Amino acid sequence: MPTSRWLPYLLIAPASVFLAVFFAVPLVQTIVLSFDGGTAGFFGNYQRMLGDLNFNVSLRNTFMLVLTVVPLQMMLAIGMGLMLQKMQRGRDVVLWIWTIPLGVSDLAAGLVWLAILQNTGYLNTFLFHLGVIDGPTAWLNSETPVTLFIAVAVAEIWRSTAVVLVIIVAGLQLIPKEFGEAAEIFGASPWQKLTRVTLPMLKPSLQSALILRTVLAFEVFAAVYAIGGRNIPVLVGEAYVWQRDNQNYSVAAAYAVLIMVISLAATAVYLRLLREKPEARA
Amino acid sequence: MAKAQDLIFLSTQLRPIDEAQKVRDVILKGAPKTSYVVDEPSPFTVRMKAEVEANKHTISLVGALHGELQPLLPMGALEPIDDVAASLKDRGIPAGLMDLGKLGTGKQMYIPWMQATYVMVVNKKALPFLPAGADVNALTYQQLAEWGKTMNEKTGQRRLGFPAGPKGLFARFLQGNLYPSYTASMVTEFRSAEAETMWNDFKAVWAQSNPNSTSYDFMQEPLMAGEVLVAWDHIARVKDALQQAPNDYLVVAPPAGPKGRSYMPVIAGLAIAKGAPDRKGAAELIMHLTKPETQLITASEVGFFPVVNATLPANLSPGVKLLAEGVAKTQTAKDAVVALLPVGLGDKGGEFNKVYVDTFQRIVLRNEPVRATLDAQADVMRSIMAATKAPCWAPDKASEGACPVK
Amino acid sequence: MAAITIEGVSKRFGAAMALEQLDLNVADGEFVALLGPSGCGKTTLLRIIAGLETRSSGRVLIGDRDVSDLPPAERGLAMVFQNYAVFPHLTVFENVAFGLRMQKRDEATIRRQVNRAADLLQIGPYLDRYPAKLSGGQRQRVAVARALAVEPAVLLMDEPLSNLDALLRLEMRAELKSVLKEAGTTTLYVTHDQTEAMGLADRIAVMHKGVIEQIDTPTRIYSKPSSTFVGGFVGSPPMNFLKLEAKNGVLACEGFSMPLAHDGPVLLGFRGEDVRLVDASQGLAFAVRVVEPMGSHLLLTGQVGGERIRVVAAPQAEIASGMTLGLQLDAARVVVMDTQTGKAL
Repeated sequence: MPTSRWLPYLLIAPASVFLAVFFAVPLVQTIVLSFDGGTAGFFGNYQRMLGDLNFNVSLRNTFMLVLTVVPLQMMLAIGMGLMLQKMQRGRDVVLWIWTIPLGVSDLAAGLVWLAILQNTGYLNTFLFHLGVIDGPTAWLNSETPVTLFIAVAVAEIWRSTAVVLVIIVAGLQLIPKEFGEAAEIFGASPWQKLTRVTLPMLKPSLQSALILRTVLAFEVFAAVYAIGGRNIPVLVGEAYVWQRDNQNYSVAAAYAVLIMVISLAATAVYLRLLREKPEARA
Repeated sequence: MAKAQDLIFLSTQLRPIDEAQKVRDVILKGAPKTSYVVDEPSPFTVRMKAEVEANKHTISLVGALHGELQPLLPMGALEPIDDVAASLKDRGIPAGLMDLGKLGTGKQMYIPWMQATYVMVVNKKALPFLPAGADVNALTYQQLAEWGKTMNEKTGQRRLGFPAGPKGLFARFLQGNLYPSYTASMVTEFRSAEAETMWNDFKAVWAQSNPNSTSYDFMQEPLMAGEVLVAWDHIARVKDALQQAPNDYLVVAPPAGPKGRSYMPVIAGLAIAKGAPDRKGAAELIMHLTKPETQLITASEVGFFPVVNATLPANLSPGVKLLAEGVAKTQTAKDAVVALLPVGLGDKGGEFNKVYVDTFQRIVLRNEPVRATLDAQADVMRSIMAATKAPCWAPDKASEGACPVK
Repeated sequence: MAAITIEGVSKRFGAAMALEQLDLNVADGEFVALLGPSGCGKTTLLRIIAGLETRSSGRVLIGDRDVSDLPPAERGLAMVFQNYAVFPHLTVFENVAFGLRMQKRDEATIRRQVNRAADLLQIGPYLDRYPAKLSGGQRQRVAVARALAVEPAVLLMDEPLSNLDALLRLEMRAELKSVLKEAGTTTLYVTHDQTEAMGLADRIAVMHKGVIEQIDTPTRIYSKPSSTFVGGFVGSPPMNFLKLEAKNGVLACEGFSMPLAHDGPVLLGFRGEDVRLVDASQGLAFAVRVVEPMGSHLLLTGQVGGERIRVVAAPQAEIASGMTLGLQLDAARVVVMDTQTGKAL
């Protein structure tokens, strides 16, 4: 039948058109917009972005958050995944509870932590009753950058570790238990078993989780905004401010392009570092 | 739900559900059949832009702040309404306000709808700590700093508060209250010696301000929580605190500097969208909303004050009454100076605000040298003025061409 | 090298008994196969010996050491898994060297022992490759080499050949036998394939429902099964059983009689190849239903009385279905079982 030759293309057409219209076109528009500097020239928006007083701060904060949050949550997720594997009973219930944050939006997660950590929040109430503090203590303002950063990092870890956990758990389930048993029989300690056998075999899952989380972590915003407002500027937050408050869409676009470039670069680094040896591929 | 035949009135003001309901049930009673729709400022701008670009019009009447209507002009979303202005001549809207509605053009682009201003709210608990000889109704910035210091020493916490959070109106404080009080200018004297003094004085004030100020959006919340005892904000953003406990608070004029006690009136205006599906209905609605009776109802229901000549009734709720007194004290202070909302900035209003907030951040929060920071930020200011070619507005003296930065 | 001693090992999974009070001795250097159908507990027993599974009671000794509560690594054994468990991220060399590296042996020793194991298993040329590039048989060799490289006292193998195709399995079987003979390692080998067990093992332990039914040399397991289960499970075709009545110290039927110190009904077991086919007028009347030429022999399925019997005939015999033949049994080559217990008398 002549139609059968076209059928596959016909079937992928809606998805392709959807992507082109709602992803590729806005992407190109954003890039074009970011170079539309008006009188300031081709790189005018980028110059304004780089010259802005919050640029360095937000770049540093974003990188520090990524470098803190992602490794910590990878470790946490691996630990949690391994614990789940050891569980005989109640595994599904625990996994279910641990993945609840998946269903909570970034903003809601931020607000939850705000309620805990703000001046009159649960943490202070608790500490007050313990007698550790003698009145509302501020943790989240511009004069307490360290606790503010920790609060944001904790909220981000709480919110997004579940994604990593799900990927790791799926990856762990793909490793037949005999590999671990073989390692045990041949004398590997639990730590050696983890580093010499489990983690190398988990590499594809780790790679997916790392790429996914890092790219998303570079886009961190809502939780930061909810907890710290603009006291802890991050790149996406600056893009938002330039668009919403300063109503300069071009500089906002420059931020967007910068974030995209950083994300792509991070992905490329991961793909290279965690590349499977070609001869090892089945 | 908006019915297709209804006139659509899109507003960035009176957004909270209870206020919007009062607009629908009380304020719009007796007006042409209207769907009252609200939106936040940012999506509001996007929506107006989208309607212009798509050339598909659903909105007839627009209600928004002066500063939010301004960017609609360059995108061609507003219809000149000199005819409506002409038929409103007998309402007694001050000429100065009507002029603001021209947005720097020769034609009437919006009709003033309601007004408000920024005031200081004082919790009566703070009064015992007032510096000796200071009058709470006629404070200076030095006295404010001293007051804050005493409160800090006596209560163990910094009790002054400013809405310097992401959605706060702190930029208006800097533009409308602080700068003109010290320099009698908003733009021209941006980097003057007086401005230098001003920033140094304000550092002392900030040192006594609650560290959470950079997170405050609406001061009524920290006021109600007792975190802050003395706060500056827009009247609509302290209203809840006053209505909840009218006996706990005073509303006073903001502090004065060497050049007087500056205040900034806030104007919300009504404009007709270009290509409005029902221009005639929109004009009738403007007539309704600017009727003295409607204006008085608006004041007592939502706390925005009349732009027309109308006397407030005696039976206002205690909270609104406090606000009305506060506004009156602010406007009638003997050293009062009026600082107008920026005119003619088009879509650069946001970046104009950013100049002030950035300057504040650098000088006060990051402790950068005052002189150098002012010089650098003045360059940014100059480029905005050059790009918009906006002439000076009060309290700066009128200029030929773009308002200069000395 | 060491002997394995299992004393009264039981394993309970909830209410189910997987192993019941099991005893087993494997002599130093001996090769014992654990043979049984799936679910008989043979893998559970192996894993308990390895330390990968906990026991409910009993002791496991390797040499004279009680290893019951030691972790697997300290039991001095190596194991080959059904799916090989060859690490895909390590080269063949590193796979074989894995156990030695874990023991922190010096580089020269590692190299020497890896090379020796690789030579033994003929995987020398592949040492630099990754397992993904190897065939199933080659991976199997790597798994065995990895086990032998640590020179274990005891080697445990769990169905190591079951993932190979038939031809390769035959080849590997012969090779394993010679390699293990050369290494001289005490080996416990789990399989459900009786030909593997018969071909490889010094002794076979036939397991059924958590107990060892019989442990003996392959020949005796085959010819003198201790129960109807063993007789039926081992051998192809399985052992035939005829229900007879013993009277006055004699068990007799058409053309056959033997003394038996037991009166009443018994089962007479005999192998299909242990009968002589004679004229229908002599011996037991055997009605042939199906004739299957198997190349090396003819497999006849038919009936004696009401019972199904399978008999092997010479390939050139002219037998067709529908014929009736006579079966003559040899008293030296039969077993007699209790009808109630199924155990040999």
